[in-house]
Amino acid sequence: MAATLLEQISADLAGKYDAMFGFAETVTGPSGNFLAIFSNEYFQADAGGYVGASSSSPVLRSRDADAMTRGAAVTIRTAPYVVVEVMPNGYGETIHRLQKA
Amino acid sequence: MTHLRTTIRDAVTTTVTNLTTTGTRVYKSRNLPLSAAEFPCLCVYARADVPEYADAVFTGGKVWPVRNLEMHVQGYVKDSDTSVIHTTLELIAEQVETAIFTTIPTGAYGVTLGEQTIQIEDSGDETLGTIDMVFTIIYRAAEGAPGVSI
Repeated sequence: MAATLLEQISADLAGKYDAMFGFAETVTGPSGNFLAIFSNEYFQADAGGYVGASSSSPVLRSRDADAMTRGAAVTIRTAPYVVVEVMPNGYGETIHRLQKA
Repeated sequence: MTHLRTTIRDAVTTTVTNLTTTGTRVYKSRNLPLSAAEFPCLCVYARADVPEYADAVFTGGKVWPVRNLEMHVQGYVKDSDTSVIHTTLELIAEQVETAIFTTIPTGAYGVTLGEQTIQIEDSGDETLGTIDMVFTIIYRAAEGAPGVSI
């Protein structure tokens, strides 16, 4: 019997979260080290003033088994962050929106 | 000759410089995004200038309407703690309003208080807060000679 799409996606995660050949890096959360994918793209914040603020949008993607809760502290590349929003994607991964701690 | 609007905007900028909250981080008509080292800060804008003829005077062969200059002084604060942002924005508002009503800008003869609005944006790596403070600066200049005050 052929694997379901969800099973195929889950199987693909192993390669994606391979520290050597995948995209993941080791980060430190409340329960210790785990593999996750970090991005921190440029973002221009706008709070209604006439000028924006240069900023970034730190996001950490992990497997559901390593998902953290809102308010959790996580260290990435020696920088401390706090989880402000937890967004499971329903396909085995959870996206965490972060802010500087 | 310099437009009185420019004179007044510069005077307001000087008045709100060196407050304990924002120091020398005061920018006139700022357009480029603020960077991390520039917080907390103030940005000063002259946004609208509306003549009012009901109280105009006629002298020296010219009509001198009252002009209402809408000045926006905007405070910007970035921090990871939203309560710190609100507290700092309120302190900025207290200091700016006090300073502007203590020293009426050069070239003007009155100031009135307008709306003050606080907004928060938390999508980035830190929360950004702004306060938009509107002041109407009242001055008088002749039609066709906006650089000359009466």
